[in-house]
Amino acid sequence: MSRHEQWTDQLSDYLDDELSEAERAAVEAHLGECAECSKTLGSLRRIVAEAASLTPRPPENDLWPGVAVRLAQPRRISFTIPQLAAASLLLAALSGGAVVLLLGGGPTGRSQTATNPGGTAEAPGVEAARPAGALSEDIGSDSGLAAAVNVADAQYDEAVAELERALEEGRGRLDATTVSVVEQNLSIIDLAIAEARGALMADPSNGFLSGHLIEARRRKLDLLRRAAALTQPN
Amino acid sequence: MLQYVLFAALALAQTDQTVPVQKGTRLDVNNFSGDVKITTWDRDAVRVEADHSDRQSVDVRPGEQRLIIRGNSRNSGMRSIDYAITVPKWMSITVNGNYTDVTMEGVGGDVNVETTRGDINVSGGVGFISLKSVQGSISLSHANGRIDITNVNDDIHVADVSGDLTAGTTNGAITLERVDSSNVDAYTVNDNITYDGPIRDKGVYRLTSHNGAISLAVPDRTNATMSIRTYNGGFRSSFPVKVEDQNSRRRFSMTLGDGSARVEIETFNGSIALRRPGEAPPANRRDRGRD
Amino acid sequence: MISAVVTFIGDGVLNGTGQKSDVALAAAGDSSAFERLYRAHVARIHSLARRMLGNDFADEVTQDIFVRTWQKLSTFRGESAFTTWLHRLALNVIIERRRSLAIQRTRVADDPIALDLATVPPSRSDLRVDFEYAMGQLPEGAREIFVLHDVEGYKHREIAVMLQIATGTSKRQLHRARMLIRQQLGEA
Repeated sequence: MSRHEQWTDQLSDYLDDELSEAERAAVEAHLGECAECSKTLGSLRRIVAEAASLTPRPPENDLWPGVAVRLAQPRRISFTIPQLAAASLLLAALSGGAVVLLLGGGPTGRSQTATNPGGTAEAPGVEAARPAGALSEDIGSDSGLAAAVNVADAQYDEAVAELERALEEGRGRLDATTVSVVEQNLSIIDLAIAEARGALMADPSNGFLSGHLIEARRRKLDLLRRAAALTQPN
Repeated sequence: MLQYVLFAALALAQTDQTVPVQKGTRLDVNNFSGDVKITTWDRDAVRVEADHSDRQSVDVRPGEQRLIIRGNSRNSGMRSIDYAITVPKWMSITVNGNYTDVTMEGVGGDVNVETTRGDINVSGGVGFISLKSVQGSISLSHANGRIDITNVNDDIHVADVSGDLTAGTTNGAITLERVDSSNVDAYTVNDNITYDGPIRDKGVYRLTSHNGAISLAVPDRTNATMSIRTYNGGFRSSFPVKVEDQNSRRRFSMTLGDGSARVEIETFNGSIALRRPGEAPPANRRDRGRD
Repeated sequence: MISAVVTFIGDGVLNGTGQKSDVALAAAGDSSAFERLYRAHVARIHSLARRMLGNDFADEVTQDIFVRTWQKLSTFRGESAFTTWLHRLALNVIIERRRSLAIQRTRVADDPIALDLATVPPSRSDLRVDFEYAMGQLPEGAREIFVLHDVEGYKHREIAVMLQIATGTSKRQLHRARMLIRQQLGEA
């Protein structure tokens, strides 16, 4: 422990003018007598100056294509790559062959498919966003997946669609942060639903999984209801 | 949100009104932005102190068995009003706000709070207690009754309460300590649940998460049928357990004592840990993630 | 716990240069105008993301920031310079990401699938500048505060709100960062 520490500990605050009059005077008095602390102060000054003069550096890769592809889509929740990739890997591992990215379809109930036999993640910068409108959990026409699984639930889908419409319509009445928090949390639940559903498709008779899935859907409805209620003027 | 510190003794408050109230009157506060701090006293009266700008005023008026408190802003922009309200202990309270932190101490009636971006901190509450936020932590202690806490992006912390309890959030942890209840339902998606309280005979306790770990303190001589289910996580217990009806390593049930209570612990990606009361629970995700 | 969101505080200075018309065009949906804005600002935004979050996530977060910018452009009222507004938005995204990274980091240990995805690309060998390298070596908390205070110019008060810490913590971490850099650069 250096005996200078009680002084050097104050040097940053001294530099940034965060000290009181008395403290400042004391530090200056000490600096007058102490070459080592003066030297430290000099280093700190240089570091601060260097930091302030740092120039921005552009990214190595051109990130614009990854941005452009997302601009075309209607403003909606987007999964981050690790989450999406994790979900698609899980599904790929379970079902093999074509992987249905169960992001939900548009009003017609289409879902997006991607072939991922190797289970590799999508290229960075390319993300799939869910189209506005009904989140249908219709698994579409993908072959090879357990047909007997009651994974879809028409009533649930309809309720979700209705609430999403209400939320979409009313979101202008919410402040930006709340909208973003709600969307973030909807995507957290969606990912949980996707994971549960993926697991259930591989193990259709698993009571735990179907219960878990039902519960997750219920929570999504709760959140949507709450969010839609928030958009109503008091 | 502007942050003012209200000193009740000093004359910083620009509104200071005291209104007598009859027993059974409910307090109804609506504050778009600003703090609402509620404390109690023995008088059958409500004192409203509020800190706000010149262009605002506070309306305190009686309604249908209610005392209604609203802010008025004469210019079009919403400005923040900070309230310090003193109420009789028996009074039931409703607070609605948007960017509003709500604190209550010593309250003894129903409590109903809803805010969008704000912390809720209630100590007290008897009867129906409902606390809702979207972004902001919720804390309840020393309450008794039918308790319903809903959050979205943040934690829920409940301690020293009794009565039926439902606590649900999406992106936050749920911590239930010294909860004396026969009916507990705690649900989160993205974080942990910790439960520490008696497990009453014939009670029903459900702790569910998706990504979080669940930790339960199991007192000695508990009578419960425990259903433990996780999909990807592990299970551990700090005391010996005898597993029956094991579907898999990760989903099984066990009977303690006469099995009269029903305890269902379920997570998908997280692990499940049982311990004895007094042993330290695992740390929450967020605490671990902090620098 | 109130989420550390920095609201878009205008400083009342309108940007009267050609950028303003690009902002107006982009807000109206012109994606070529938005691309011009992107090109003009990406270096600064990417540098901020890189310095705050590290190399691994900088690209992805930068894209998120620009997508969010596109989505929110219609709410930009011109009360401040576009640069200031964009910068605050970028910080919001970075701080949100920082928070969820902290959560994910603790999950990665449990989740075998996510472990494969978390493979870290090797750090770039072209970091010629000793100073940037020294910054990169700082412990996360100290680095973030150093970047916000000394590189980006925020005050401790503002940093305290953004990161939900006490101003005292911010000051201590800043000093620690500077002293560690000093050590790294061999001046200690």
